[in-house]
Amino acid sequence: MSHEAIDILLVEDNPDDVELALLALRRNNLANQIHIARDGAEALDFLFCRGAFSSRAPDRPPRVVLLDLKLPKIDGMEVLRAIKADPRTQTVPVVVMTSSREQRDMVEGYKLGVNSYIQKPIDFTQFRDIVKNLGFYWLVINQVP
Amino acid sequence: MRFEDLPIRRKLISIIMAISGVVLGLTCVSFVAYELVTFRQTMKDNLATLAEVVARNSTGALAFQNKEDAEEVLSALAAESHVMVAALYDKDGNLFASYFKRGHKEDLPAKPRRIGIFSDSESMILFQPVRAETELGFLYMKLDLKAFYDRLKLYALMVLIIVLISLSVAFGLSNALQRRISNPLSELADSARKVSELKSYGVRAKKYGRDELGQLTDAFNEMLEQIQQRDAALSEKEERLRLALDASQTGIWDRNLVTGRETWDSHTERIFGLKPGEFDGTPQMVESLIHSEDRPTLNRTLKDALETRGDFVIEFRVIWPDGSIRHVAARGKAIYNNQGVPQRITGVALDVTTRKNAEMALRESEEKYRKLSAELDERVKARTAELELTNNELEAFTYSVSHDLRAPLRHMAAYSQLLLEDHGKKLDSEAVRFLSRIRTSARNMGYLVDDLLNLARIGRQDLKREPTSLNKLVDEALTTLKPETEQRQIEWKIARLPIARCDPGLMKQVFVNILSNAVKYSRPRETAVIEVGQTQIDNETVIFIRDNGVGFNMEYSNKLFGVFERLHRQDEFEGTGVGLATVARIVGKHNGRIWAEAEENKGATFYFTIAGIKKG
Repeated sequence: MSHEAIDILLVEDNPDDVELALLALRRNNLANQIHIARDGAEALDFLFCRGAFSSRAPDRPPRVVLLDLKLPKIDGMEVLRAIKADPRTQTVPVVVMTSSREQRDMVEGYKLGVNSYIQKPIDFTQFRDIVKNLGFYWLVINQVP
Repeated sequence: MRFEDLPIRRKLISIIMAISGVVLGLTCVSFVAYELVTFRQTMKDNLATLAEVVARNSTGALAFQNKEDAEEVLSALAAESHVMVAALYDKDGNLFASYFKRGHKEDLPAKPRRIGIFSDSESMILFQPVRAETELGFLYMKLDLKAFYDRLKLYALMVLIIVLISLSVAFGLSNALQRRISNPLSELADSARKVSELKSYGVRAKKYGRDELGQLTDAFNEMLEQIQQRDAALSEKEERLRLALDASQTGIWDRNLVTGRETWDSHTERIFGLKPGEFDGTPQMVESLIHSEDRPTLNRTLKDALETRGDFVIEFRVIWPDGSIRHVAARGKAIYNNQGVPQRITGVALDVTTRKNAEMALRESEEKYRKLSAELDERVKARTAELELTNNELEAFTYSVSHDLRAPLRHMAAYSQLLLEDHGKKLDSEAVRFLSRIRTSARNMGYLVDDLLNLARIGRQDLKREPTSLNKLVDEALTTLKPETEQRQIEWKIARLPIARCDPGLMKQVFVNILSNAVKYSRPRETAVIEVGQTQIDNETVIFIRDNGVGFNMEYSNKLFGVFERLHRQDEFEGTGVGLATVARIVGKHNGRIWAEAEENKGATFYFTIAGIKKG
């Protein structure tokens, strides 16, 4: 596993979505340092430097987490709750990127402290634009403590 | 007949007669006695005077022993009819001369006896010396008392006649005068008898005077007057009571605790199913009429009432002779004598069968209603649970649709696009066309899924009503529609719209959908005219959106608001067929109505109302 600083943690179980997201990022030259977690448990292990990631330096969190909600093992909302509840990770920006636009998910996400909530659009051009904007905003414009 | 039992008038007459008789008798007797004593004295005085006269006249004859003269003197006594015998004796007591009333003969006394006047029952005898300085001889005279007795007889007769006449007069007078006393009394007695015989208090006794009888009559009449008034008042009260009892069909009963017998009026008899007069007053009959199950309670209630000295109310069942069961309510109280011993229990009875039946029917229907409502409740609960389950399933379904159904469409659209973009040059024109068809189809289906999810969400969503400017919503909708309107010539006529209490997010969707349709279906017009306004229909504010687009055939207007229903072909006007269904659902949730009017190629107007629009 890489010990370098990670820019983006992409939490996504669907390989097509992973590929399309990476494609969109790459086309915009934003795929610098991306780590992909395929379920919620792995995402949390990575963030809290435990299990397979126990050797990772805990003082270098990703600059943004792109989080799907429907995940195996621990679902996205639980991952969000854990990130925002822990002092080590609560300053990490989290962007929910999901297929659904369920009102209750949105409300709960914002209650838990999500930084952005995005429904993946059907049209790939739109998706690509969104990913581009996202990367640009969170990695270039946004400042974190 | 005893005196006490005699009628007053005879009593009065008897008393008057008795008094008059006694007074008269005593008067006559005293008078006669006095007369007789006086008469006898007079006779005696006359005899003495006569004897004195004879003695004087005889002195010569005696002195001279002239017998003839002596007899002559004596014979003069013939004038005195009641002188029976007269004789002269010489001084030696030898008979010298004598006289006898004519026709009378008797022996003379041989010698003069005691001097003086003596009388026996028949005669009066006198011996008197004849003197002239010296005693010359003695005179003897004997008077007949017949005259005295004749007079006595006469007196007696007179007394008798007087007494008889007096008594007759007294009787007549008393008979006449007693009426003055006895008539008022008889009148009073008659009146009293009439009152008691006729039971009529209207009778009045006639008043004759202002004496004690008059006062008695007044008092009697006054008493009658009062009784009459009370009787009238009592009758009136009785009448009223009877009326009340008749009107309310209330019966009166009275149980004598001493004799054990009961008295019922006709109402009570009717209540117990008997004909008037059929009740015989025995406790056995009472008991036989009362439902056997209710007898113990009834007896206990009566006993309690006697012990506690309170009123009692009880309801029990009565079995009529025809076998039907009636419900009776009785209310009553015991009546006690001065020693506190109960004498009677009396009260009223009322047939309450109708009320009881109504109560029972009410209870039954209440019970039925309760059961029904419980059943209904149960069913509602079951249905709610079912519904909740369905709802949950539906929610899970839409949730998974939005994730799992949408994702592959996204992927298909994305990959076909990437293929076109990255490898389009290697493909011939037909392959490129096919690929773009795949991409369009995937995208369309994605939109369809999104629209359907939106429709489903509206169904589940609660309204968040707040006062909202509809003009503001229209403005927001136009902003949303900008990509579709940018390249078009559209003349907007937007009137002032009211403030409405509605869910702004949902109501915006209404405007977005209808305006988007207006924009879409007016695409063939060089200049589209789209009007938004309000109008009053049947005193209700109606919002309308009018366009000059292609319109539609009103024949199909019933399909307008159905899901997946479209009136135009996809290659003419794109669309999912969900938009107006969504609009209709939102309007429905606002308790409003939506309808449309259109003519083919002339345009369409959509109208809707929602509850909570302020007029103006």
